[in-house]
Amino acid sequence: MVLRMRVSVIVVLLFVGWVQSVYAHHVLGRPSYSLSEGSNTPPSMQVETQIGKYFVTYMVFPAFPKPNEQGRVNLYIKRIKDGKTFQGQVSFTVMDDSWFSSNEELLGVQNPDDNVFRQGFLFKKAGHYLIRAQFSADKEPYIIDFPLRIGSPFPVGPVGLTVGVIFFMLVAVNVMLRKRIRTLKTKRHRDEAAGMAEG
Amino acid sequence: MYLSSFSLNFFVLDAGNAMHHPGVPVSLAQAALLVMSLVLAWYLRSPGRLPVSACAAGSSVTGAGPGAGSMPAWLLRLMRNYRLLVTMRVLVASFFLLIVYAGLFGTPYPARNMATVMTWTVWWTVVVLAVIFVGSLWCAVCPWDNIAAWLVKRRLWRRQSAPYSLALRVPRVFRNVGLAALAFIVLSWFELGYGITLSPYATAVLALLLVVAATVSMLVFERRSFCRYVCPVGRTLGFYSHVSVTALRPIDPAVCADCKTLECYHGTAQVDPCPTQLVIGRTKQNTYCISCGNCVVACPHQNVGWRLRMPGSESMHAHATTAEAMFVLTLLSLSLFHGVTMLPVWEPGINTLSRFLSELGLYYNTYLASFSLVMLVCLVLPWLLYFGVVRLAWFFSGRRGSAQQWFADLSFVLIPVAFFYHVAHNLAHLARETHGLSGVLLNPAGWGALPLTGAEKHSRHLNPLIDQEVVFVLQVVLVIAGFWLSARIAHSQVRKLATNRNQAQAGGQSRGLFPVLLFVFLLSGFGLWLLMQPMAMRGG
Repeated sequence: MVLRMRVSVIVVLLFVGWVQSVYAHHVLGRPSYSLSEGSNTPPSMQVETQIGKYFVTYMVFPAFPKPNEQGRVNLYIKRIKDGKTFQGQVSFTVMDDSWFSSNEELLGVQNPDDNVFRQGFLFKKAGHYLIRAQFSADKEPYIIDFPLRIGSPFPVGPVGLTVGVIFFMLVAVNVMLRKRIRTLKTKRHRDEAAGMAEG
Repeated sequence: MYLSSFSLNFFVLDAGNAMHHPGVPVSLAQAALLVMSLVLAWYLRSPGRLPVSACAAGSSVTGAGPGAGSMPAWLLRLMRNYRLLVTMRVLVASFFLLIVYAGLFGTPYPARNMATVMTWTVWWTVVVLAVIFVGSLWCAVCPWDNIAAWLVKRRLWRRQSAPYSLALRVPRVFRNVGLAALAFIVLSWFELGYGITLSPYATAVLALLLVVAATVSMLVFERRSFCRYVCPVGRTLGFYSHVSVTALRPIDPAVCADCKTLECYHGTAQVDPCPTQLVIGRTKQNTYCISCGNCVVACPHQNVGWRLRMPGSESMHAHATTAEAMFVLTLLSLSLFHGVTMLPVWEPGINTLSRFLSELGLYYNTYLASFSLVMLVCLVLPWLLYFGVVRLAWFFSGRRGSAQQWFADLSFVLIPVAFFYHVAHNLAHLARETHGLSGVLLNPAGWGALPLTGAEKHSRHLNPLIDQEVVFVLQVVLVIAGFWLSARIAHSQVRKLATNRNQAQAGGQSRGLFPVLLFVFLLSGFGLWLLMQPMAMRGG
């Protein structure tokens, strides 16, 4: 009886442990398969910041775009002082966000559309990119870099990496130490045997 | 105008306007300059006469220095209690793990997350401030090293008899503080350039990286090589500990002089050996002591304990290596550089340089390129100035001894200036940016918290932890104290170096002292000027 209970508990625990986190697959009553970058309520990623006299909101649709999948950047630029939207042009460029890389490509130059600067994109390769928005206001140039990740993130997080490296090193050093001790023992036996033979 | 956010996980700015803390008033700064000028004049007028305390320091066997005294017996007993130390280590490590958790899984808003608030605003300030009273005691409870030790030795305390490390010797070329200096520069670059102080995630990743580095080092190299040769925090605290009023030293130097067994160095069956390979009876400076307390517990004569002493007394006659001098110079440069990056002109200046580099065709991440360039200049400039000053001092003193020895030993003069400026600068952060600490402690990961609003920032700005006027007075007192201690050390070191082989003539010694004192005066004056400027609030 006790054994059966234990097994049941283990089975339940395993089942609970196996369950993956589940994401909502409906947004305002629409099924997930009908969501795209053109939808009015797709999941998005948002960054808010301020630069000079402006408050800038940057949104990416979808939140984590994949290679060969349409995406869109929305930029809202408002003057901090009076909340008025910037009415000039904004140019969007993209570059590879890896060290010592300088590949740059112009995505487009956009005018405000209903107070929003919209810029579409399509990436063929997964990776980390920088979207650079540039505009000029009050005779002063403004340059803002925003991050954009295409594709899935690295599957192992910092905790996994830390545990992995430490575990690997502990095992490796342990194996080396055992080998070293074995060699020492063998050498000692050999010396003792040689001593006895001489004696 | 340029703004860069390197990664969404890493860097999210709070909303609201950037705030600046006011600087020290001109009247207070003028008073400080007057006092410093009087000190300068006093030391220049009496070059041949050495302060009584400094003479005594020279004859001190232990280096505990003049005025060294034992602490009350109950306090010594408390400090010998190893269980208390282990409990503290476990508590600090638990808190550290909570910080890592909050950083990795909590809100990205830096002012709402425990990882950034506790690490950069509280810990980094308090740990430096505490050096005055307890030296490098932080190292004794340091979570990076202790977690590494627990993982590697698989026990909380007591010596592990079975071998657990390859115990290789660190290659000779790295057996100095060069790596620690490099690590400190890299850390400062990440802190001020990359903006790690604004990213809970990056702060947590850095913490884990340090644990991995300490663990790997312990598995591969002998004793605590990471602490002795690599750790930038440990070596910073070690050098700053020269101005501490306490140190772990022999209670009776004669007992140590007669000791043949050296348990403090070798350890016992129960207690680990000294992690940084020191013999406490022969220790003459605090640079490498990590205050772990092994020597206190291991000594069969109970002859090691925390001793009171005159700040800076050991630096007056100590010798340094060239690598140690380089580390001190790095420390000084980076301390002042911290202040420079928080000036109101910093951001516009860097933006202008970024734009200039951008126009040159250096398009990618010109902000970091500009930052690195200015940082390099700020690092190298004090080195060059110091080199020139040392050459002058050596030349004016009749070229006694080697110029290299002058370069190394005179570096001790810079420690008080760097340390007291660092404390004065951090005091402003501590007083004005810890207002919402209770909220962060109650919600470490900042779940559900909104970014700091402009009104909240303003409220924090108006309600500092310590009254603004008190902060100003303390900052000025600290700068004066730093200059006074530096002048004392300069006085003794120049005298020691100038009388290295032959008795020096008073005139040569005075001429040798002049450039050094003037340099220290200018450095302190620059520190004071930085404190007079409005300072950008951490986190915008």
